[in-house]
Amino acid sequence: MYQEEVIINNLRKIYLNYGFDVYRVPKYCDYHMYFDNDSFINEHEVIKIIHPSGKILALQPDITISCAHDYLSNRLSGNKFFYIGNVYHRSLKVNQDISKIKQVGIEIFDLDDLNTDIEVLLLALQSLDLVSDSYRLDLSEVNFINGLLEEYHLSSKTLAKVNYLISRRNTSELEFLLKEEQLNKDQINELITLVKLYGPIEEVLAKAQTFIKNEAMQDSLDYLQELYKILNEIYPNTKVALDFTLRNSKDYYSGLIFQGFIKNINQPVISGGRYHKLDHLLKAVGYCFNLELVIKTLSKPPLNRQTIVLYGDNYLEAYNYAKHLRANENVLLVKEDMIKQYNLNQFNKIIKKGEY
Amino acid sequence: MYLNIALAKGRIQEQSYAILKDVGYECLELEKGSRKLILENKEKKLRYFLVKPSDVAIYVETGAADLGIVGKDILLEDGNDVFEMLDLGFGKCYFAVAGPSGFDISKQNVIRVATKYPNLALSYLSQYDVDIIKLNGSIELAPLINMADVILDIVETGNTLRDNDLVVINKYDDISARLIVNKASYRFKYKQINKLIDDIKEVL
Repeated sequence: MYQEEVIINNLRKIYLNYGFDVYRVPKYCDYHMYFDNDSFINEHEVIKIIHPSGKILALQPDITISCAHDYLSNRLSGNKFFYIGNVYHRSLKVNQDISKIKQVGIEIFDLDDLNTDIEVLLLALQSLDLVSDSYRLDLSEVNFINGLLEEYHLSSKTLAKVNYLISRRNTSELEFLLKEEQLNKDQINELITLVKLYGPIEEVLAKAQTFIKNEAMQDSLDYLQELYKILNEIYPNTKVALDFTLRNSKDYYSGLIFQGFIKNINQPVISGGRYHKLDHLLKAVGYCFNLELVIKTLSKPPLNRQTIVLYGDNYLEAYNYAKHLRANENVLLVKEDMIKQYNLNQFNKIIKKGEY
Repeated sequence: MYLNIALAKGRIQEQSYAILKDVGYECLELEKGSRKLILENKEKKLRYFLVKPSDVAIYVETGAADLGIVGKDILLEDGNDVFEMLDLGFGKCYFAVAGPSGFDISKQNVIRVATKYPNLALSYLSQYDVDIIKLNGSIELAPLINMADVILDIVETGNTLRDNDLVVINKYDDISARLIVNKASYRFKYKQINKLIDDIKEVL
């Protein structure tokens, strides 16, 4: 078995173990349904197909939206789902080729409480543990920074710029912009200090206390504290960090937000959080695990090695011998004169004709 | 654990390295002017890559380098997904559309723009119908030989424009050298990177 399948199997086991139902990923979705939602995928990346009926479809661009849509249309029962499927994007770089990205993820609908968020993080941590020893799970709660920004009374245009600069940790330009907006020195320093804060969650939580300006910020920090207290009790882990710069440009996430990083992989392998805006009806939390990135970076997959049994004229004899071996190992039956076609290094052992 | 740093060859290389050397990130191999593309300080676990300026952000974005020093022009053009952690304040210039004096861009059916920055040209001139001619150097030549009407380029002193009888028609974003960091590397090496940034601020 290849590493990819081993990972998928193990992830599936975890999610089933926690009572999640499988969501079967449709290959298309309705293009307009997709764009009526606040998606965070660039419109140009979506691959459009014109169905013979004249309808415009999109080759599955975002499983979360499909799943939420099916849930809202009462096509699913229960409210905890996991999926294993492909999404398709047009690359905006150089060749504009279509890329297929294999994703595994979970979605939980209509459960809006701390324990649900903890369960999601717990599953994210277990998923990361499956594939790597050196990873970080960075989390934040978007209302902490939002609460601070509210105090600044910025226009929505400036706010969008500020959010972008925060997400790039671009304190130089942030300082310049806030000066232009006539904010005072203390206000500018506050935000910049928060942007620079990064580290183990306990450490950052303690430091963040001094920045609380209003109820929203207090609630946000209380939530993070409680969340971490319980999470750390049920799944002690030193790899959780707090990072207030986790933002999303389109206001997609509304509470908890998190990203998982694996050493030497340059993009987040897990992205998730709590979102309430989708279809304006739904409270949901979930994440998606970018399996494609992990597979590309893991060392070459070790084959679950096979035994070769060679045969000449007597296929039946070889078959019966192999059948007996197959109880415990994987056996490939090969006709003697075909052996040259195989790379013998890949096999455990070779059993020749006279040896059985 | 090595720290990999991508430096842009050319215009900002000397200043970039001078700052890093000032904060203890020296590399003798690099000072010797070797032709090697990978230069190391084994004792301090530093590795420098000398790359084309327009490639620095790609090395950092893909994680081949943990950090790099690059002009803001490249970041604006390519929109790389990196942390842009410090404005180093040197290599200052600005984007401008320039052309022969008296050329009125609002009166053209189609404007032919020669540039190294096709994405920015389309975005800066989005209200016009433009025809982009992508060049890799000697941009100023294009309007002189009527290959293009105007150019979009970075302007430092304006000397090259003057020498070629071109004038600035519109000014756009200001540019300077930036220290950029790979988003995943930051998570694993943030202590070292934060210290480096604080040290650099001291010497700027």
